[in-house]
Amino acid sequence: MENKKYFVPYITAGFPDRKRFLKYLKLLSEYGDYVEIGIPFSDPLADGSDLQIAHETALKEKVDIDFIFSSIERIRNKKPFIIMSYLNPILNYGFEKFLKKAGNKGVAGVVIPDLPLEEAGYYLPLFKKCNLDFVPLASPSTSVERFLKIAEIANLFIYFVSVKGTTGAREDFPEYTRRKLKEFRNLTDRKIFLGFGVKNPQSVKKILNLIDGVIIGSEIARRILKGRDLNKFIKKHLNVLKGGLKNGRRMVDKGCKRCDKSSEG
Amino acid sequence: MRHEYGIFGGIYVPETLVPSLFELERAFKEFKKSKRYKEKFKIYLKEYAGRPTPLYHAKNLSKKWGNEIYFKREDLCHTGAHKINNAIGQILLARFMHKKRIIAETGAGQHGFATSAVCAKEGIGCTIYMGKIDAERQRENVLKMKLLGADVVEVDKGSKTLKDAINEAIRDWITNFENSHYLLGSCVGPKPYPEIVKYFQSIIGKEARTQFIKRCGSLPDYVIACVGGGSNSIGIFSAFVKDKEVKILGAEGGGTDRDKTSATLSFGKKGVLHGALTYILQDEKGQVRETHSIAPGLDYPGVGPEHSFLKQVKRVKYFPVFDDEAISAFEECAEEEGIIPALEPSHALALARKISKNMNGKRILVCLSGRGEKDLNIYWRYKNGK
Repeated sequence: MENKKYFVPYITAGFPDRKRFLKYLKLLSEYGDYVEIGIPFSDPLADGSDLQIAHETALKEKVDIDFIFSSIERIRNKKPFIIMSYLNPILNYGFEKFLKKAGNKGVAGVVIPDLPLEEAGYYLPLFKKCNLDFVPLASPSTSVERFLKIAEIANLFIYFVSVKGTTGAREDFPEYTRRKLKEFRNLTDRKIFLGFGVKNPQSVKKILNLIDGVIIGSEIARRILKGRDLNKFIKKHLNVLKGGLKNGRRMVDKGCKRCDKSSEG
Repeated sequence: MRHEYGIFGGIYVPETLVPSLFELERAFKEFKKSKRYKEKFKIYLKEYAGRPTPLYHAKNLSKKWGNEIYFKREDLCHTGAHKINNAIGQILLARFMHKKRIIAETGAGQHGFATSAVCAKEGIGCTIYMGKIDAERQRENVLKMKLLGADVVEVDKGSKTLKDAINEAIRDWITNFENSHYLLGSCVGPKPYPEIVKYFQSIIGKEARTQFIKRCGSLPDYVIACVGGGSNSIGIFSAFVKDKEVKILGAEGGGTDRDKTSATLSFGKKGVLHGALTYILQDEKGQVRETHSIAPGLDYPGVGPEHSFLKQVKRVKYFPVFDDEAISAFEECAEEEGIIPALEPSHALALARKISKNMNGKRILVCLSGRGEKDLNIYWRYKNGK
């Protein structure tokens, strides 16, 4: 297992408005090993209240998939992007057309929270064809048998949902998160990233040995909404993930040069 | 992409819920095999819901419209609509699975009312999600639910109607799936919900078919029902789908026009909402549209996947019925038959009246899915606004 711990910040496209989204996307690209961008949807049923607000706000800005692609083009210091979207906007855009464009624009993987294993099979050949990774989710309710199947189709990483519930920052993880991660960790050499409810760096520290990275969304959205500092918050996390801030920044910078040349994703 | 209903249906839900849906599917299979629970369901329907509901020959309307109009009187069910059939079935299923709490959504309040009633009887706590706009326009149903001990949560998000009530119910379920059963009220949602709701609602069609044959000596020429999510319609249609000579029509909530509508099958396109691939009302970017119908129970941008299938294979024809047509059918039924129908089946009545203009002497069976006392406020507001 590689020792590097990945930091993946998430932001909903067009949130809090078009202009500031670009500003934040640049900022997050400075820090993240990947940057996850969400396509806003009218019915984000896996999301808690912070990201519901983000989706709603972004929709008022009339943001769509092409806006995301053009935003990505404007980021100079590129990191591999992950796109998160509910299925319907992608279906409406045209699944293959979406994957082709995404692949060309430097997107490494796509997370679709309402496309579980059972329904994903139909689309997997398209991902392969477009040279893009489907990022499957696993959750605390996933059985071992099911996890093995999920790990089999994963490439980039497995998105492990930390809690039984919707997205939304939580101070600490329930006991079962650790238990489940421990169980799954030994079953695969695929990377496991932890998402949903990640807020407190200290709680991440406690399970750092079981994961390869964290995805942080709700807390970033909340901080943007409340006008609270993002840099400090992110640095605290990097500190934990990279083991020491100075060292951490250097590692991040290196990571970024690497992916400019070509393919970390 | 092959599902139970051609390409329609499926299980498009977050990973966290998938195991719960499989558990539900397994339990439902066992439940159907259990003689004890089947017997319980039968007794419950008879003694609690008041089944069988009568088949009624609406003679005055028949005379006026020139065709023989029959009502399947679901309005006479306990709690005022067909929703009780499914609520009873699923509360027994929840008991069968040893669930300790019920989650439900409601649009018009009829499903919430029925669910609250069976939960009170079974002594199981329930949380009912209802859009804020719906709660305001169906205030009496909110009061009834509260009296029955339900925790009613008014959803002040998105369109503030049924769609958002379902979103909230699903979010609750994602968090509490271990001890809670989501008692979904229509034949929508991920597998196996459409099948479960149809199973419990098919009693409408089974009874109506037998009653009709007994009374008229033949099958009806037409069967008509209103379609929101589509549970009363799938319930009555299911008994006639195989009878090729019977024409089956669905009446959708047309709203005021193409832009302010709930007529999903008439004006929507294929997409994924609330866990199923089906027709949905969406904009050109794939965002789900806000809907409108004067009938809160039809005010929903999706539709049961089996209806999408029945449309595709052309077994059932679906028509938009507009607010003003439904209102005038509502009045006509009250005046001619002394029956106040709910605004939802008033759409089916309006469609029966419309097709009557081009034919004579046909037998038309209409599913009168609920009673209209809940709608008097909406009706008077509409009349005063005009």
